[in-house]
Amino acid sequence: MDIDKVATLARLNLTEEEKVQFKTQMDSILSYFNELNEVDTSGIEPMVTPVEVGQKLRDDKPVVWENIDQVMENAPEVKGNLFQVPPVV
Amino acid sequence: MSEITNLTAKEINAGLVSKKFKATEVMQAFLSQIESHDGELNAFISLNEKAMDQAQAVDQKLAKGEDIGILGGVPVAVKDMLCTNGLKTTAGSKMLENFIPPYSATVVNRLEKSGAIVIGKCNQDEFAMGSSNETSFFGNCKNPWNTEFVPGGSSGGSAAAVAARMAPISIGTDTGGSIRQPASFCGVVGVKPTYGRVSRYGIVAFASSLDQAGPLSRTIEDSSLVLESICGYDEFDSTTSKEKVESWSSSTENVSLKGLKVGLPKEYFQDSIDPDVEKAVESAKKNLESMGCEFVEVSIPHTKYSVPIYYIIATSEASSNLARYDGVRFGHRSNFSEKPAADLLDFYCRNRGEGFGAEVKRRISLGTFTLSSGYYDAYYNKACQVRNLLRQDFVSAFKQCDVILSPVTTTPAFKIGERISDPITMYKNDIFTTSTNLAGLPGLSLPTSLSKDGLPIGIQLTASHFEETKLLGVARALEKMTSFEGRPSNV
Repeated sequence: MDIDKVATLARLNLTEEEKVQFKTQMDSILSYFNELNEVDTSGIEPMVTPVEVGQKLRDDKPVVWENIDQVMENAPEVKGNLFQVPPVV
Repeated sequence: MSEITNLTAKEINAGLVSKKFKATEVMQAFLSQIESHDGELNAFISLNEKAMDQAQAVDQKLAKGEDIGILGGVPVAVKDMLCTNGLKTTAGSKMLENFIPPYSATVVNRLEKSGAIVIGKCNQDEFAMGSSNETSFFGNCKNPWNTEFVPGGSSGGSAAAVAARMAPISIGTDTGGSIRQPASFCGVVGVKPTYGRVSRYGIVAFASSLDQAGPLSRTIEDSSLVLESICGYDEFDSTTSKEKVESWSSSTENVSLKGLKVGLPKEYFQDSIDPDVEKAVESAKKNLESMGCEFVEVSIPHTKYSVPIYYIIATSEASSNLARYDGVRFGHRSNFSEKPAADLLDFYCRNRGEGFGAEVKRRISLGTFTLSSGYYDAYYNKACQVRNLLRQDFVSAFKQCDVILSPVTTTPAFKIGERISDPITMYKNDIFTTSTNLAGLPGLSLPTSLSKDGLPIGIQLTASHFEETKLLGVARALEKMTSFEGRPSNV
C-alpha cells in the first residue's frame, strides 16, 4: 500500500512514526484480507445492506429548523450566517 | 452505597409509582455512586447537569398522579456516540471534544418520552473503533471487576457504568460486537437488535450497514423494557423497519423451552477457546437441556471470513462517514492564525490529522484504500459478495434451529495495554460477534460465570431476523437458571 497516496486521498496528516507503523500493520492486515480470494463468489450479488427495507419517499416539503443559532455555535469561526475559513487559495 | 443503586430499572419505576421513594432520591443515589467510583473507573465523559431538575419534574408528575412512563424516573447512561441536545457529545474523540448537538438522537428522544432521564454520557473507543475502550481521547475506562483489565469496547463506559451500579441501564452501539463484548467482559446483559429495529438518526455514524444501538442492563427484563421504548420505524432513518414492536418485557416471561432447537455452529468450536469460556458455554448447554432444549449441530461455512469481511466493509463505510469531519462547520480546527494553511488540502489534512487518534486514522486509511480505484473490486466488492454468502449460511442454519448458542469472545477480559499495539490480535477477538452484524441478526450477551481470575464471562445467543421475542424469551429462561451473582466486590 502506498501510504502517502492513501493519506492524501483520505485527507489525513500522518506523523513519520505513524507512517512507518501503519506501513507494517497495513501490509499484514491486507494479507489477512487476501484470504477472501479462497472463496468462489462467481455469480454472487454483493450485499450492501443486511435487511431489505425498500425505498421510503416523502413529500418534498421544506421544514423550518427552529434553532439555527444553536447549530452555528459549533462552528469554529462564523461571519454572520456564514462559516468562515482561513484563506486556502 | 445505597440500596437503590442495586435495583433494576423495573424495580425503580415500580418503586416510584408505589411511592417507596422519590425520583430525586433515586437520581441522588446514582450520582453519589458515580462520585464514589467514577474517578477511578472513568466510565463517564460528562454528566447531565440538569438530571436532578428532570428527576424533580418526575416527582411533580407523580404527585399529580400522572403517568410517568415505563422507564419513568430511571437514570440511563448513554454512550457518547448518541447526540443529546444541549449536552456535549464527543464520540470519544478530540475531533468532537467540544461538540454540543442542537438535537437529540431518536433513541434518546424515545427514552425520554418513556420517562427515562439521561444521567451522563459514557466513555467509549474513539468513533466506536476499538474493542477495549483504549482508543478513547478521554482516557481508558477500567473494568469494575478488576481495574487492571479492560471493560471491553467500544461501549466500555456503558458496560462499566451498569456493572458498577452507576446507572441501572445504559445505551451502547454495536457494529461488530461493541455492546455484546463489553457486556460479557463486565458481567452485564447486552443486546444488539436486528438491523433496522432501532433508528440510527442522531447516532454518530461509523458503518451505516452494521451500526445498531441497543441496551445494556443487569437483567433481560430491563433490556426488554428499553427495547420496547427505542425500537420501531423512524421517518428520519430510512433503514428502519416497520416490523411490529412487541411488549417484550411481558411476552418473554415464563416461556417454555420444551422442544426448542439450539444450534451449535461447528466452526465456532474448532479452534482453541479459553477453558473458562468453554466451561461457560457447557454450563449454558446443561441449563438449556434441563429446560427441554434439543441441540443441533449447524454449519456457518464462511465463519472464518467474518473478521476480514467486517474489517473491509466497516473501514470502507467509516472512511466515507468520517469524511464529514473537515473542520469547516463543526469539530476540530487546527490553529491557522499561528501557521497559515498552505492550500485547501493542507487545511483538511491538518484538521483531520490532529483531530483523529491513531486507530481511527488506521481504519480510515484502510477503508480509503479498499474503496480506491484498482482495489474496489478485489476488496470492497469481494467482501460484499462473501457477506451475502455468510448471510445465506445463517438463513440455512435457522431452518434447522431456533436460536444459536456460542461464546461471545475467545477469552475473558484482557489487561489494559496487552493488545493495543497488535491490531490483528485485537481484530481476531471479534470472530464470534462480527458475523451477527454482517448478517443483520439480533444477538445478545448473557452473563454466566466468572473465570478463575474472577472476571465475568457471558454466552451469546443469536436468533433470526426480527425474532427478538424468541431471543429474549430463551435468554430470560436461561437467566433464571443461571446463578450469576453479578456484583463486583468493590462497588
